[in-house]
Amino acid sequence: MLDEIGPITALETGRNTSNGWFFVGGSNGLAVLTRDNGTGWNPLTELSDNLTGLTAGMNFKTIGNYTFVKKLIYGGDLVNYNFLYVITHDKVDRINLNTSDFGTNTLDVITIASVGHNGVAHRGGFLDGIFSQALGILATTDGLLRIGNGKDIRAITNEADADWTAIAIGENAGAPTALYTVTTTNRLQNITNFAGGYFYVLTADVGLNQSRINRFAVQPLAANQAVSTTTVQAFDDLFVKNIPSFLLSFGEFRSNFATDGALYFATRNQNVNLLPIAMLTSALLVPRVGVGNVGDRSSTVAINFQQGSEINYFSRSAASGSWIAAGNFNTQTLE
Amino acid sequence: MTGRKKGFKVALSLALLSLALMSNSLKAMNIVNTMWPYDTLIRPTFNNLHWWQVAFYAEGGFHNAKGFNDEGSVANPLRIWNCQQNALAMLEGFPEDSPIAQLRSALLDSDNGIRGRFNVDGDLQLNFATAFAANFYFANDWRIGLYLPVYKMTLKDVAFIDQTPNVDNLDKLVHELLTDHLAEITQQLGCLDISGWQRTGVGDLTLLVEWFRDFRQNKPFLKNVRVNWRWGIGFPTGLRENENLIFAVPYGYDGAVSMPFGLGLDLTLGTNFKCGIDVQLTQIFGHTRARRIKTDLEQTELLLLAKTETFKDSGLVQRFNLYVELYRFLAGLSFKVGYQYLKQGSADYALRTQEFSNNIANTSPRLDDFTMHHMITKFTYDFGYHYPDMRTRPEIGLFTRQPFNGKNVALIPTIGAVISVDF
Repeated sequence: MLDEIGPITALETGRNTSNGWFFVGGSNGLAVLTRDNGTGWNPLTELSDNLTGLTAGMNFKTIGNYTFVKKLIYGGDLVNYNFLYVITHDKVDRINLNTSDFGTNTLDVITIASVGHNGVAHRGGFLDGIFSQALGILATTDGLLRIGNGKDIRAITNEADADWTAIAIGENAGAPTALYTVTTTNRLQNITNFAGGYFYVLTADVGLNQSRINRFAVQPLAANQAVSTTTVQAFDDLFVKNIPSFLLSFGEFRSNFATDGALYFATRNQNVNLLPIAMLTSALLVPRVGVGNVGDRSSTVAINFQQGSEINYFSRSAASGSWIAAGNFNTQTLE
Repeated sequence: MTGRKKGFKVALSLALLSLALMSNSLKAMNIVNTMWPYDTLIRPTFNNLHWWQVAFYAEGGFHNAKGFNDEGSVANPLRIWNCQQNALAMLEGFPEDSPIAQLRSALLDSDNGIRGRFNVDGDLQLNFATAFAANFYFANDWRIGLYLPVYKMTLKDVAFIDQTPNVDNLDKLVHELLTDHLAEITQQLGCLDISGWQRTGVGDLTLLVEWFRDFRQNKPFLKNVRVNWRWGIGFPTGLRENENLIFAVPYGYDGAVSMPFGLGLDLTLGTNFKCGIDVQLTQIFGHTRARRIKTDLEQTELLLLAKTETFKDSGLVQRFNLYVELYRFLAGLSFKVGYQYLKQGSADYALRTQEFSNNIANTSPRLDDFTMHHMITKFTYDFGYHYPDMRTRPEIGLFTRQPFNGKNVALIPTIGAVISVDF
């Protein structure tokens, strides 16, 4: 079954009050690991050590009609609401896990964003997203959008009801190609929980060969609190007074970014005949407000990408502290 | 009688030589070597014994065009500028919020040098080229003439062969969003039709003033020296390049006024042998029109979506002819073999907009200099040989133009005829 969804691009676990599932998104579709009757594991006790809860009789089953799944995000409190947000190239769906039946492939789904609206061209699309409680943020080929003031992503009934609102990205380098969250739990779903969080936006334009990092702070929201003007705010990264700007500029196109707050990596896939590259900002130049040319002075990190051409993942393992680079090569670990 | 038999043998040998050259050229082909009716190697012979000369030319390509790329290597005409077309780069260099830029953003960091590439093939044909010429003689050594060609060309069997693999997610994304729908996308985002075409139209009307004089020589071998020079104006009547089609070359200088100037020397050696050299330089004046331009360094010539008002400063056209001729070796029959070299210098663009980069636009390989090498053979029969005192002098010529080398061009081997009457 997993062969049918093509190359795997997204993974997520989701649950409701009685079941937990494993979702897998790929180029050709979306699949859920479930029993024939649509049930999953017990979400209160499983999955446990050694993946207890994955039992015989569970199979992957294709659900919905999706292609090019970018990201899967589970948002829920286990009791009142449980949603799976499916970000694909051309639409963003919200699947209600409380009322959907995977046994009969009956999904309670609402399309909350689609191409051709909110400035996203029909040939453009969605690149990334963040969903946390009432907040919904989408990175699109036309810019960054958030759900409108007074709205709750869990309660909207259709795309128009979301009242998607543009978030200005000061002196950006192009479309926001990826979002990188910093949260208390390290899970993007929690960016509005606890003390809130912040996220980095990588803007990039391959044609202009440029990329930059901007930062946005996210205020915490109460359980049923709607989004307001102050929920998402740009950091005061300035070079000139009163002109919001970026934190880092890499001087060249970069397609991936990773940081643990101390080190700032940026990577790029193979570019025509130039091999993949991973860059690290200088230890002597700390990225901070008003200091320019930090990203431009990054140096190359010697990583053996073998014959690989793509770096799909670059992150620091919270468990081991190692930096991990993954792509179409043997996964590399920097220890 | 014996001499006539010998003449037939010579004619037969020359005809076979001509056919051999034609068959050689079947192996090769290149850009747009459209016929110049005032080309000294194919135009009718003339003298100042009549007032008028009118001529009709007809020519057809007997093989598809063969391209010669920047290195002079043989290539399909649609590959003379780039061996592959880059559909990903096609989307680069546009304003951030434009649909084109959005599509490029949606394709992520996918350009690994293979994705989005197309091998392009197509057959370029010259269906026919005709021309009408009329010359008026005056003041003994002068003539003034008008030349108007008409061409019909076809580009068919165009195939964009996708080189994108279909293995990982980015491969599939490029397929789905771009390469599987390339024709639809180029049409929708750039009004560019990447299929074939068939176009018929006139070329540039040329007005030419010529001076020529024969200097008889009383020497054992050298009998006559003819000196001629010409100057003219090419009017931009020709069918323009169609920017919305691929490789739809102009039938002239694309709306620009041109000014040819030429100088020639013909030597008559003995009674049946001639040779000569001719040099013609053509200045093409700058001209502004909507042109397709590169907006990114990696873009390729057949997949350009940006079109903007652009001034083009074309390079000088240099054409050199060398020939030897068996003159009236069999009654009024003459046979000429000529070599023609043509070079046009590199051109420059000056964009009439600040939206795109002038420097990037000028990296277009179509602006590079190009060269053509032709072997031209021509049989001419002058009916005036039989009736030297007749008030009219008909003449018929059969010629072939066989390209055999070049750079950045697509050349078509042709065979044609020219009929002229002096009266």
